[in-house]
Amino acid sequence: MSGERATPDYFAPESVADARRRLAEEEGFVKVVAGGQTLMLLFRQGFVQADALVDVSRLPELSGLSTGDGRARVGATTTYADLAAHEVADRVTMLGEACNGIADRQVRNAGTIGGALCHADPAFDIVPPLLCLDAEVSIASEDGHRRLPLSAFLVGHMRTDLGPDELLEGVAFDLPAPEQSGSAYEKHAAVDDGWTTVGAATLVTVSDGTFFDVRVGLTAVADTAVRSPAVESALVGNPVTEDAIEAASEEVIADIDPLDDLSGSAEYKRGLAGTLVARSLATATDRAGGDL
Amino acid sequence: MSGRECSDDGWSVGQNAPRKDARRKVRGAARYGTDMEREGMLYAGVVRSQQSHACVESVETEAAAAVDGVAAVVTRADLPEGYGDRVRHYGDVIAAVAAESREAVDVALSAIEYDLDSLESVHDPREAVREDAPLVQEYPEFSHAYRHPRFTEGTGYVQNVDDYHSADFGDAAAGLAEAEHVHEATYRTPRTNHCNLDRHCCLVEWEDDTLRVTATMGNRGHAEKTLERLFPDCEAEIERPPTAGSSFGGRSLVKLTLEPVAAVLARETDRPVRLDFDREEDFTATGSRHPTVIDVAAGATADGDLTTLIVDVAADTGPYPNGVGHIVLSSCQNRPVELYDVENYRFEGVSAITNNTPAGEYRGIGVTQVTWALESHLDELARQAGFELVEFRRSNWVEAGEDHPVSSGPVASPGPRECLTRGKETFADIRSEPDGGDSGVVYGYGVAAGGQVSTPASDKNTDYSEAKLVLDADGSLVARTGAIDIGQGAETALAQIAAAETGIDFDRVTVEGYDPTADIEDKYGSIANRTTYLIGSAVQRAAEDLTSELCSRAVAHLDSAANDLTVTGGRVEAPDGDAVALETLVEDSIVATGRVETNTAVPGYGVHFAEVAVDRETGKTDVTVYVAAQDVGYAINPTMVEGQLEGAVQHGIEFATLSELQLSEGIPENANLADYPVSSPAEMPDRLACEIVETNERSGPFGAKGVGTPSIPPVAPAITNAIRDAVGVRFTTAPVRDEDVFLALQEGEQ
Repeated sequence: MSGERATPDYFAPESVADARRRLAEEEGFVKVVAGGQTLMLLFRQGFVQADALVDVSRLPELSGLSTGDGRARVGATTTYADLAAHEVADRVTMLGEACNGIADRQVRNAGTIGGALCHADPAFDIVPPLLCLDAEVSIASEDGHRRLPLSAFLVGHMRTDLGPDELLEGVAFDLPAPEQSGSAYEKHAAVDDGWTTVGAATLVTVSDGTFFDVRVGLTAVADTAVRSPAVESALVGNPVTEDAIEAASEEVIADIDPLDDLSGSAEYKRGLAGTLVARSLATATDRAGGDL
Repeated sequence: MSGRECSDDGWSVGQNAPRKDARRKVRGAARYGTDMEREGMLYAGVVRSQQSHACVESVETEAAAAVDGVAAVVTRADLPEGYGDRVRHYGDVIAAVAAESREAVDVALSAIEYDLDSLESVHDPREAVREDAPLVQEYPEFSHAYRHPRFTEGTGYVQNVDDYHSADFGDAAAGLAEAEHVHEATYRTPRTNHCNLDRHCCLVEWEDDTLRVTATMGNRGHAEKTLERLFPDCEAEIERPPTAGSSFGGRSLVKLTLEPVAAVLARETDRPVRLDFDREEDFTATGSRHPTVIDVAAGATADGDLTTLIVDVAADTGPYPNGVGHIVLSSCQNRPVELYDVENYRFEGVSAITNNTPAGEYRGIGVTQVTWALESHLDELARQAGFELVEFRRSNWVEAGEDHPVSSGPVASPGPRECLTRGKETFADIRSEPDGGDSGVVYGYGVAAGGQVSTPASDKNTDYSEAKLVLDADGSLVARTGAIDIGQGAETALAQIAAAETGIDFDRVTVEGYDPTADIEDKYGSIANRTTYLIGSAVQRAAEDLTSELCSRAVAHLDSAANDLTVTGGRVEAPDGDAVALETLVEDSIVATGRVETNTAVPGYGVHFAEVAVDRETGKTDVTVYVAAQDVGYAINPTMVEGQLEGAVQHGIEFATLSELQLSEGIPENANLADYPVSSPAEMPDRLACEIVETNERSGPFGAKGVGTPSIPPVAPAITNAIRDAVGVRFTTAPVRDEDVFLALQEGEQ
């Protein structure tokens, strides 16, 4: 037995164009480095090996948030801390709640939104709120640009639709109307800075005492973060009541398929999911001005 | 007690003197083991077994030896006699490399090819001792310096016995048969790891036959003996790194896959070699807390007299006995009857050799495990019998001064009674008054008592410490001791003792830890609550001698008798106000030596109170309020005592509700800090009060005794008793995770 562990080549491109070029030219297995909060740990443990690293963490073009035309655009190397501090996180409460609950301050200061999406760990907190927002990712390579829904980008357990020569450059979503909508993120973790056992993001629009629009996203319950159409459709069109939330939340079982892992058994996660969805919905509904 | 703020004469005992090490640590100026370098030093790394039991069939080293910068490649066969050709746990040594750079080490390690032939392994301590279990270790003595005889003669314990203890008085079987209320249960305790911030690291140099190891090592004496046993012709010297890391027991002893491996590489290359562990190695190749399985049976009369206790323990020591299994068993055997006065007692315990990752010392060795079982058990017995929970236990506690039925000394402490009174009052003041709303959160309250002794002394084991005070002509004082400041505040507390006794300003006192070149006799170093208690006593004795020497010298300058004089503010003062400066009295320097010996380990108790809030819908359990009432004899530095108590609560929370190194057939599943849950300030109680109870221990300096480990045993049972109170379910396996609470509540609803 033996494990070959060669040191990968390291590149710090000076521009996004330079990064795209490097990805196109490189022949071996390349990993893009953004915040490094997950990747470096995996490198150290020998779980990830690469011939080359392309470090995009210092490219200003990829970092930061902008809003306009009712839409928010988040650069790939925007950190959790950057997002949490932005007014978008105040407006879309679940984004701020998800970001502020991730790991510890050091990780939030370095870990990036784009890095999280590309790593596609099914227990990451940032994904369910973005799924609720119907976020779209923008991807580029030497061959051009493309956009696709985040839900299509996440194809399986730590697998994405990103090609070897492609760079995820950002994620964008429509901002919910401030009136009548509210959102929340609820999660359980064994320790405050540890892995999420189950997390539930919800985005609710209330109109005339009924649920007009409901989005429910969950993490750590399947191969990827998922939406729960069963809960959503059980609520939409119904009057805003606690009973309606309770009943609909139980439907979440239809859309999840958790695994036994170090964070908890599948049985526990199934038990948590309904409760967390219900709590998240109640908070989001309250924030939307719904009268429970 | 004097005020806790600095007095006019400078910091004394009983005051919150600032820590001597704080400034350099906070500024990042402290240099730890992993910062050490030497001229010509090589870096080292180890190829470790991914199997829990296997024969090393072959190791190919040529490719590694040919790597640029590699100075030596050794295999298991090159290690000292006793390692043999088998790896016995995940993380055991197959081969090791020394090279000019870390990068060269990495490349060389990955170039080593080997073949392992898997062997049958054993992982359950009770299975391991049966006749049909595979033999893990045919030479169990090799890895541990002689410190006590190993007893291995228990009936039914045949194979893989590290140590065996039994005790019997009264008639336990009859006592149980006659009891009105009987409760029996089996408890399982977790393999928790210290998770010290500074990872294990050693720097090894040979100079002729002298093997010098620079490392944070709590038990210097034992470490030197172990190394001399492994390298029979050497003289081992343990040196301190510039700043020691923390220990909590994790740095007490030599680790078989660390210092000896570096020593072989250093001898092979004739150069200094530094070997650092990464976090996975810290989890799997050092020594975690012994997991135990503890059967408890208890019987009480109708009016609440606890008459009978039966305790049966199996501890998992891992593959390489290091003497700690013995401590686990003796603590499990003695502590229950040092706290409870029972007529009938039977104890049986075995420490088993297994193919799990090694166990070692961890704050409150054995006593943490048995106190969790016992205090859970008696709480449950009282609930089932309808006894008042606290009164049942209080009325059965031993009285101070009663003879001890198992070990030698008398129970000298006033015991936990004052802790109970003080703690109860404080707890009543700060506990929550839940409004009874229907949020799904239920509150529970728990109490537990427990304690541990200061020093490992017994009638069969004389413990001793020496300290040497050197007063320089410039009026500065150096205290040479056998201590090491592993964050417990030894430098500060010992300086306060020296300052208080000599009258020399605290800021002019420097405390030095153990040093192989200093001629200080000290049996163990900084372990087992002996630093302030025993080394502090030696400092105090030396200080008394120094003071009387100064006063007799001053007589020539002052119009007073020597015993009317006092030393203060850098001078010797007479009652009439005349004074002479120390500089006048000291030409070169004055040296005073103090020595203390003891055959008695004094007990220190705590009674702790916990409030938990349990979210019934998620199982989420928060420790919301906590009171640690602890008899510390006398608080030399109250703030540092509070730090010890707070740290005990943090470690206890991990044991009670969070942490366990999980092994599957000996293979770790969470040997990293992402997957192994460690507490942070977020997991600490929202309100935490430390009640320092001072009972003046006559044998300790200024009445002080140990606090580091006596404070941990009550923590976990106080918390899990509170969980029992909140949810009506008794958990007998720790940690009690949120998931366990959730699933138990689900089951209860069905």
